[in-house]
Amino acid sequence: MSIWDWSYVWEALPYLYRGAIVTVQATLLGFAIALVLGLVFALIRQSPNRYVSIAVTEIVEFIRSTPLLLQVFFVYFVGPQFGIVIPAWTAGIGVLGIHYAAYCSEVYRAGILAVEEGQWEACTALNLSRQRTWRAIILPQAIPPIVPGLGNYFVGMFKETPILAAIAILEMLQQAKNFGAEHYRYTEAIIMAGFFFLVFSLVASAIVQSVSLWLNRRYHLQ
Amino acid sequence: MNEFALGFSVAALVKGALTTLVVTFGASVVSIVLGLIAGLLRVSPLWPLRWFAVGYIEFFRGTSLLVQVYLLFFVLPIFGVALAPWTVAIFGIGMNVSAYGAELVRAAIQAVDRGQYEASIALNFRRLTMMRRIVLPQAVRIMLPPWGNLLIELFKSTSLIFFITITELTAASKLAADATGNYLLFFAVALFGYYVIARALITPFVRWLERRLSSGFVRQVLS
Amino acid sequence: MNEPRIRFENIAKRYGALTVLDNPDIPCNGKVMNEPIVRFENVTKRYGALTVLNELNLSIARNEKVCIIGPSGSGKTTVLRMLMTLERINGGVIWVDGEPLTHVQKRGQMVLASDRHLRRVRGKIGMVFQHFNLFPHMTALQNCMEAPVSVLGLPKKDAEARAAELLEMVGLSGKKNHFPIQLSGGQKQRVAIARALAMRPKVMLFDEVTSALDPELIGEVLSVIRKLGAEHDLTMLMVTHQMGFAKEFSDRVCFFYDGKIIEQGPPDQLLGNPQNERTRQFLSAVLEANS
Repeated sequence: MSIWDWSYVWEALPYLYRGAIVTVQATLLGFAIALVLGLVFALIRQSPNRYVSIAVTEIVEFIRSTPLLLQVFFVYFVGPQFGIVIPAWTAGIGVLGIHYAAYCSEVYRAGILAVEEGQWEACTALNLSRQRTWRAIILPQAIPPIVPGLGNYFVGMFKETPILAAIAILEMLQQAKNFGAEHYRYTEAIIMAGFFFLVFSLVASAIVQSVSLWLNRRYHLQ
Repeated sequence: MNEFALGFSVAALVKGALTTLVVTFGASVVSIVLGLIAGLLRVSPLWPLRWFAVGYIEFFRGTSLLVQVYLLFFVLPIFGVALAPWTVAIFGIGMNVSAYGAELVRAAIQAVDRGQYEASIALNFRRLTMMRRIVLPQAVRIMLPPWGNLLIELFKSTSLIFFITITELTAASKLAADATGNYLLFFAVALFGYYVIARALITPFVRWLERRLSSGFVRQVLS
Repeated sequence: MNEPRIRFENIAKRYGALTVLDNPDIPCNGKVMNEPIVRFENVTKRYGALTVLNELNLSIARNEKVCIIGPSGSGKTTVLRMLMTLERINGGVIWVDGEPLTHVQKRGQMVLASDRHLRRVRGKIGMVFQHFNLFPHMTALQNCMEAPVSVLGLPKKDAEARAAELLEMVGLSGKKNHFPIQLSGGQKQRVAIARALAMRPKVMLFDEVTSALDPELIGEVLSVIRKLGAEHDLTMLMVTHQMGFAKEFSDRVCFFYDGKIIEQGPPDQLLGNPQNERTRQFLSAVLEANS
């Protein structure tokens, strides 16, 4: 038996392709949730009401200190116990989104806190409404600098999608493993899966980098 | 749920939690040692060493942790190297995290004030002496807080060894829940268990280290 | 002729005391002319245990130009920041154009004003900051249009015309489409002045507006302020270290020390012939630093 057999590579490709589509879809959808929900978390944390902001801080902390896999299990299995059946795909992407929203909210928060105090004061002096202050002045300054930080979590989420296999979502790595089990030959499929992860990571990093550059130029920040 | 099943499940959970702790500890040691080595090689003046470190870091950061674990668990045996699941868990997670740690080490070393290097050169230190006596003591303090976060990530990622048939806390709670049908109870207990270990064990430990290392001369140097 | 004069004075004296609000019968027409546009009445500001301003009383008449001088930490910037509602006051009342700034009267008691009230009163005041605080992601023109459009609801075209006019007045019509990062400190500060003026305030606050500038850029900003004072009906209140400018420009100079006004008066008198020992010390120290 040779160490590396190209025929297995060709045979495994359709499996990996099917899985890759699921992986990419899950990442994009999950990250969309994380971006929006993370911003919501961060904004609520800035609430002048101390109890509200402490509560959200604690929730974020809790989500960040417990494993994604267990959270996926929780949402997927506890629902049916009470008669609420959540499809695996919904549960998986939802939890992925919420989990990373907790991380993204920290990034947003850092960005918001980095906006100079003077910007807030100028908004008060010009009598801008709170909503307008956030939308037109603070967020356009807070977000471009943190795009690389958010991007790291985008790549991170991508690499954590294999966890979805635990609730029977056939993402790329699970497809590779299934192929290996069917053909008694793991080497090619798993190495190819790893290779794709590496390529995707590098491509995604490059995309994030250019988005970051573009945003900073668009808003004339440095 | 009968009492026997409950008692049995609680015992299984405790055992799972201990497994998680042991793997966390082992993988932490591996990741700290390898992370330091890779991070130091990454800033080495010799390009082969530097490039080796870059390759190591990019490989472990770029391919998913689970892929690496599967490589060790499913692929290595084909080449006649059959590792025990425990070894796979500790080294798989430890090596993966060490790549992230190496980047922290590199960043911390580069964050040490340039004047420190210039002063060391002016005093005619050897490079290794300078690293050991001047740069690292300051870098360690800079990198401790991010290492704290990284160790919590490591701790959480031990749940992935569920996939290679080790019954750690997540797997134990799943088994107990499957056996009794009470998913809410066991998953909630496990979630809470992770939270407590992270916040009451790991975070205070890192804070304590920070306090210890920030006393004495390091504080004066950095303040 | 005598009778109404006395009556008016009585009103003026009582006005501002909280009791006057209980009495809606007092005619309010006459007061607008003579009532100071800004009045600090026993205003106290504390940061924790530290009292920054202690029972400050200060009235500023319409169109008056007042300069505030004093050593750092004397509370002079705090005066402006309280007036702009950037700082909350711990005691007393600030009156702006006949209304309490941060409080409203409800059933005979003063209660903290709603955001709406605050926003209405705040519209009468404009402020220029030491560090400009321009919006970095907007051009000079956009900086001057943002608030008129989103706060006053001005149509974009009108706001743009007004902004362009103001930028022309501060001598920056050529820099309309530049971003703050492309402007010098003096230019930034002039944009900031135009931005504040775009809201048509009645009172302009200048908080050490030249302190962050290189020496050669101070003149251009001061000459804009000078022009502003000469050509517009504006009440101006400025904290400054430029004694020469204070002397030539202001109607009155107040010397702050340790949270109190120790001495105030026309600039010639206060700067030329100070009565208080502290004022003398401060002025000679400033003089020495500048020579």
